[in-house]
Amino acid sequence: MKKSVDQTEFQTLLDHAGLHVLPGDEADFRAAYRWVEQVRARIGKPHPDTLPAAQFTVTRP
Amino acid sequence: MSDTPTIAEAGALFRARKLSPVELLQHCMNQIERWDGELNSFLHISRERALRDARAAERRILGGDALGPLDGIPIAHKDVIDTKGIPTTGHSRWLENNIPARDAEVVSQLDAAGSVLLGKLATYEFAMGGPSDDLPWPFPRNPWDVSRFAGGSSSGSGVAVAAGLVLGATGTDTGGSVRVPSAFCGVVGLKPTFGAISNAGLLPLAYSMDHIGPMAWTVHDCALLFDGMRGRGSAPDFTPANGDLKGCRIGVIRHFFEEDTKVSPDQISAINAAVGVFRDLGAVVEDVQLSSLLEYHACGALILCTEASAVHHDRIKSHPEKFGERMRALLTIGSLFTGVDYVQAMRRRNELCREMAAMFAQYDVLITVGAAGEPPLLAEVPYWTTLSTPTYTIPFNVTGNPAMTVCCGFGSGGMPLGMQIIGPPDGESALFKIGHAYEQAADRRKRPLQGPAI
Repeated sequence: MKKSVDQTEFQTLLDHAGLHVLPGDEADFRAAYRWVEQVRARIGKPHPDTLPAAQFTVTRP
Repeated sequence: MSDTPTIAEAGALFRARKLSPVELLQHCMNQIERWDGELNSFLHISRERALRDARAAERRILGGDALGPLDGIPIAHKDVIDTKGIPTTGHSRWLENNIPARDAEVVSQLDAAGSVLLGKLATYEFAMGGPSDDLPWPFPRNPWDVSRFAGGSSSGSGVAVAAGLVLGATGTDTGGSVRVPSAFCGVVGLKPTFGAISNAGLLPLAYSMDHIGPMAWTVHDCALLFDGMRGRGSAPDFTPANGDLKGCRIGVIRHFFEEDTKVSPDQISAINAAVGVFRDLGAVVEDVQLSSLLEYHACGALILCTEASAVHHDRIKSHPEKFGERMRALLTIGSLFTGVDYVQAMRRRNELCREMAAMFAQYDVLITVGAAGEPPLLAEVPYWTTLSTPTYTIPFNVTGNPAMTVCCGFGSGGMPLGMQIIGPPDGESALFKIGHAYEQAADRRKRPLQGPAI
């Protein structure tokens, strides 16, 4: 796993999310991005039969 | 009476005409005056409203028309819960001047039960940020040792109850925010079943994981508050049938705290001692196996951070500088998860919910630790506390099961240790019965800061 993202990659991620980072904050965020990747990896791929637990219900008149 | 009474004790004193609601309110005001300059638990004290409430309760009680066990009881609300005409800031610069036009549903219910609204209690910024010193108000200090962490985010509630500034409080719990400060402050805190208490009028953090819950000094008081918050107004069922736990089956989620993320030796000893108490009361106690705590934490943290980022998306995009540094950091990181990440986490959540539900075919309740041990020094609280340290509480926000923290002793540093008792959905009465039986059998504790006699 990557230890952190580089500045360009991180800026791309922020742009995609529509965010900007305040001066001085960026190094912390790039390090913390490791956590995002760890969490993704740990969740992995649920069993194919597992549907999202969304609370969607049909609204009937 | 040499100390702040419990809710149940105060009710008995009211009925015996040995204490009046106005006298009790004055005692709480004196406690606040004496201690809160150091503890920082209150953001706003509603003196006039409280005095009006207390006088009305006094008239009802003297007239024989008491509304129930909460009539005349001073309480306070975490400052993410709307209170009509009283500031509700979310402990954030964003809402520094916010005065809601209506009460949250839970405030209305507790008001209808006759409680006395004493004020609003400190939290993390929007119940998420962390103990921050760059917000308009300071963060609360642990009354057992002010150099130590009080937990969060319902830290003001835990501190005020432990120190006897109020008899009960509301908290909110999205990943452990009722139960962790309850553990660190040595009080009882309940995260009810998801949806058992209305979230109407709550500043949201994460829609599918937010729970409002009661915090109090005893299990009985917690049960009384829970009943009032639901608008039931009846005496809750909290006493075991025969005063013991014969026939009760208890599962211990030991791998959470001995293998997945290890806790202090003191904390393990305290849980083992509690297991001994349960066995002495007649319960059958066995270790159980669930998925790793790290899997529950990953699933819960992703959903929490993503939903929180959705709640605050416009704010973090437009004016990130208006947030405190910790909250800004968490929201930015949360914004980097994708829609695919969120859907996969919700699918994993479904699997974890099924696994948890199967446990309650075999056991009445589960137990595990409330926190990793004694509260750390404030200087040692990790910067990314929500992300870097799996909590033992978030699994039950993921699944929605009710979970209650009770004090299970003290560590070698003299600070409280917490144990969680977890039930099946809508199984709060089982938590109250087992928690109350434990509390009666275990060593009694005294409040950390003694008040003057009342």
